[in-house]
Amino acid sequence: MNWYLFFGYAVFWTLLFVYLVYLHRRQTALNRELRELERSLDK
Amino acid sequence: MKALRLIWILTQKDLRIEYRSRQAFLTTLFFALLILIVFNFAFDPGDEAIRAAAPGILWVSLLFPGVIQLNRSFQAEREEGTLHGLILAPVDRGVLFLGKFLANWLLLTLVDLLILGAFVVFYNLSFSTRLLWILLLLVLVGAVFSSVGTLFAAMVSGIRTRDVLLPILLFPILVPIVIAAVNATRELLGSGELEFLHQWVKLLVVSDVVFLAGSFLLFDFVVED
Amino acid sequence: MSVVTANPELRIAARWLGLSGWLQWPTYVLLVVALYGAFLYAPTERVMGEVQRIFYFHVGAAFGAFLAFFVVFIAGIGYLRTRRVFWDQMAAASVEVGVLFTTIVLTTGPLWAKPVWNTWFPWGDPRVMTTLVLWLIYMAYLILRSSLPEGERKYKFCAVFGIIGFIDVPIVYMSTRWWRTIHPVVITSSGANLEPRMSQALLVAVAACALVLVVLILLRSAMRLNALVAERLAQEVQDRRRVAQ
Repeated sequence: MNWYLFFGYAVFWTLLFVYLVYLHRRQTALNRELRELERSLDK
Repeated sequence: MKALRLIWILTQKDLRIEYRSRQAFLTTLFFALLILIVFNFAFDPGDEAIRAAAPGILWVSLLFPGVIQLNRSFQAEREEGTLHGLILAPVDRGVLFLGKFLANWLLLTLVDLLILGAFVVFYNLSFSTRLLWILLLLVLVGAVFSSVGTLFAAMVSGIRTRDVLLPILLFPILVPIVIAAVNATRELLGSGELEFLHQWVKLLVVSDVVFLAGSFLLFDFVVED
Repeated sequence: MSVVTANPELRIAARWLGLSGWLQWPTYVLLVVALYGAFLYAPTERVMGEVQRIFYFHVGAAFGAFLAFFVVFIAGIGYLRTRRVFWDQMAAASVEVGVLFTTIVLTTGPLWAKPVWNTWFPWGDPRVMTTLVLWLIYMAYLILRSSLPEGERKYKFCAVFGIIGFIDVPIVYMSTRWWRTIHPVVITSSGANLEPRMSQALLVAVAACALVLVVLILLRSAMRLNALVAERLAQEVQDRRRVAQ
């Protein structure tokens, strides 16, 4: 029974983590774009 | 001590303003009385539960009117814009805080004292030295209430939802104070020995010191422009 | 004035993103290990049974919730002393993540309490009471935040409230502790006698939750900083267009 719980929660956590990594990538990209924008505005 | 005189002058100013339109003070008092009475209607007459709940009822009936009084203490500054005048004056902001704090503390304690009188009547208590202890509790709780309350009231004075926002900010902070006050009062109103009273008083004194110091130091950031 | 020097938040956000990116993977692994520890490695509790396993992440989440509030406190002081916006954004992010963790504590708590002590919510238990008050203070912070328009005033006021809230927490705990000695609750404190495997599982769970907290706060803070600067730059672009017309 505990094995089911462990795997269940592990899968749940993995899905959440995938979302976390996705958010992280998106924010990093946004950050890069904003810095580009900043540089172009600065010229 | 020039600072002390300044503080007292500010306190007097606030008290005098309050005295001129006693109406505000009286409505606060009436509100507290009303809560005290309404609570009694929530129980069956003669129900033992009332006596058990009495300490809590006393303190709850003091909380909400207290908040209204705090908000009102900044009303003049808000409406007349006199806060700017005070800040521009060559006076340390800490002095401003202490002046307001003292005025609020005195006013609150006065209301509390009168409500305690009504409480004694409603709950058929006898005048004993234990009532003096309750008076001490009122003074100590009033100090915490006024110190953090004055700080927060200054913060919310510019916000439209200040009447509901001030309790939202203040009550969570005051939870331990309420616990201490109610439990100490319960012991005092009971017939047994006073074993924990000193503990609660100690907690109130510590809270007084901590929150007065904290509010005093943080007040600067709340009234800058 | 150079636009570049006006947006240091971008570089700070980049640093935080880098750090959280680095921490992400160990966090993933550690939490899986913690799950293993809680469900498979730790023995079943004699009296409470399987339901006790909630306790590992319940305590972990609680540790995270209070750690987050400590961050709010430090960030509040940081903002008041330096007036640099990133402190405030970190405070706000910590509150958001902190509320999440506190809510988890307050929901896993009853799930554990009901089967074991036959009560959903043990009023009077010091840790429950302190966590409840923490939740209230977090909520009040968010409500205060939403009542104020963006700007230095908002950041200052929130910092002040966060600081007052933090110094209140120990006082809450003390008062509820004494409250309990007067009215002893049937519930006895857990954690008094843990078998070694249980303490190990607990340690790993707490460490994992702490790491998750750090990663979430870093990410959320970076998100806020990005959004802040994006708003600022969008305004700048708009202003320039209007000037050019």
